[in-house]
Amino acid sequence: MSDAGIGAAVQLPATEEQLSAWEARFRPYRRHPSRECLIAWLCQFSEEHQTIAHRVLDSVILLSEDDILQGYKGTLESLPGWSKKPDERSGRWFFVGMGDAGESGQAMLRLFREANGLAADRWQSLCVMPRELPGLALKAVDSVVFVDDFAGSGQQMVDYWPIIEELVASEAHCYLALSATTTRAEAEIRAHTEFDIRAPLVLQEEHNLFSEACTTFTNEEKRLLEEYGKRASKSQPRGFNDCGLAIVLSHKTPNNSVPILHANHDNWISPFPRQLIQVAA
Amino acid sequence: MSIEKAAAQPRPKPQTVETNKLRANPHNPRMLFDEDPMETLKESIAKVGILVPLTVYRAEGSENFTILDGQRRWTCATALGMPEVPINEVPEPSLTENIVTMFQIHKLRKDWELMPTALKLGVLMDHLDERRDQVLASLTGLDTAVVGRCKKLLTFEPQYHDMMLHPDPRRRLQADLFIEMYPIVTDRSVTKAEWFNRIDMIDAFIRKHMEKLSGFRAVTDFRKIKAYLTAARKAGREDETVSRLRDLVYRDDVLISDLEVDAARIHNTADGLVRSILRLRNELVALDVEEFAAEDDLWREIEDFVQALRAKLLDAERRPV
Repeated sequence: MSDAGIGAAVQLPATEEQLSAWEARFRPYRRHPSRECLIAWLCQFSEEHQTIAHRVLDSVILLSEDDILQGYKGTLESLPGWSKKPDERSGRWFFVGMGDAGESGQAMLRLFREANGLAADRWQSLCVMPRELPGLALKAVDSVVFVDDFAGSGQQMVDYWPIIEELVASEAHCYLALSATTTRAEAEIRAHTEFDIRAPLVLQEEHNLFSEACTTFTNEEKRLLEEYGKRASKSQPRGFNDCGLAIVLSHKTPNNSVPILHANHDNWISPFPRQLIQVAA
Repeated sequence: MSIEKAAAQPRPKPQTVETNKLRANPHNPRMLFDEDPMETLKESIAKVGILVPLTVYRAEGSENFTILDGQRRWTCATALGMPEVPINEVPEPSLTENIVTMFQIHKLRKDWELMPTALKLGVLMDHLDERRDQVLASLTGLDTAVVGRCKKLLTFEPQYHDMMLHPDPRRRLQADLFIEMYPIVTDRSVTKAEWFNRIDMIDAFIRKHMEKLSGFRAVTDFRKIKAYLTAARKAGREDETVSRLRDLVYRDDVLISDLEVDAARIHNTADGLVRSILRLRNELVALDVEEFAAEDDLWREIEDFVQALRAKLLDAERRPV
């Protein structure tokens, strides 16, 4: 994180207490923002907009790794027919990480296994890649749990469903285990796929900083936030698919979150960068 | 019993099920039906009902019936709000039978993602221990060329299959990229080269294609590489081109066109052919069919010419026009 701009701040843009509280709250992020980083971020807002920036930070929902583990544990425990004991299990069960090796879906699958005591090698046979699904000859009694981190608009899952459906090629029950989602994504996925979506945290309309349901900011403040958003991302000032969220997962910030929180380039620095190396705006 | 009496007997009613107890066959869920014929079928069903029962099976452990044949009738019945439809229930097919049946019944969409089909063809090949294109084409009803394309995809390592199945469409690699790359990574001169590393080469080609490096603009650029390899082989300068190919794989400042060793001859020949083809095409278009109707030799030659053209296009793996 660049320290540019910190020296120019004669007066701190927030109180010591506020800075300490944010610093402590954001510590679970993989590369947690330092006090200097938070100050530099705040300094990008003009003096009269500082309270808006403060409320943005106050609005951030950060899921720690422990939150994610607890969520995945609760999810699998709640699925009917699952048991760690094979003879108490209903049908066959398989777990699939979304995305190819080295991607968040696979990383999430590792967390999912850890959360549910399935990390040992003997459970490896239950964990498969999507390409392996056609060869499993799945039946209606079987279950496949697709593991991913977050669905913001649900569009990607809806678009991906025809491929999944073709690979599963049976009436096997398809669960989608997420750490968090939104009511909008949940509704889209339920309406357009046969995924049985499970997420311990479901963000409501009010969590979209730009929605009318969000009362944290006035309409004028929302307009200003969008202006700052344009500095962070010209094409998606409200975040991908206009989701306007302020959610941060311990390992990555979803692109559905507002870019002022995660963009990282010459014109903007952020406390939760998706790209750890600065890129062109 | 007389014919009259028999006709008067009440006909056995086919089994019926609630329309919402049926589901499309998951082996082929993305069928594209033309709207006009569907509308005609819908009107017919609205008037006289469904005359031919749907062929369905009940999957083990399922409450629902899966449609083997009759998806269009079911779609119409659903649209018409029919509470139930007639069915013929058959035993649940084996995985292989089901894949074969569904391949035969349904046509592929034009924008079909080929990788899932390839994976299922792979399952079929393993179950039946059958590799021949013609036999697989005849079993599945797929075009032989599609079978060939699927088989090429299956030769790629699993990590590349994953890339073709990526959930994010912006990051999902198209099957065409690998199909076009196939002739290069399997070229006999290339694979014999001491420096050849298949994974390095595939990864480099993917990166260059994605980032538009080394002159890569489209997946069809691999055809240029193949053409340069073939030309070099004919000119006895294969080693030179294969060596330049190594540079193309490992260096971004080397361009596809740098592989050319016999460019002038090939371009001249191609230019000459283009001119001849254009002249011939214009003459053919201008030909008065009635005036030349009796010229049997001419028509026979044209037929032979068309066949030769088709064979050449097939060799060049051009899509049917």
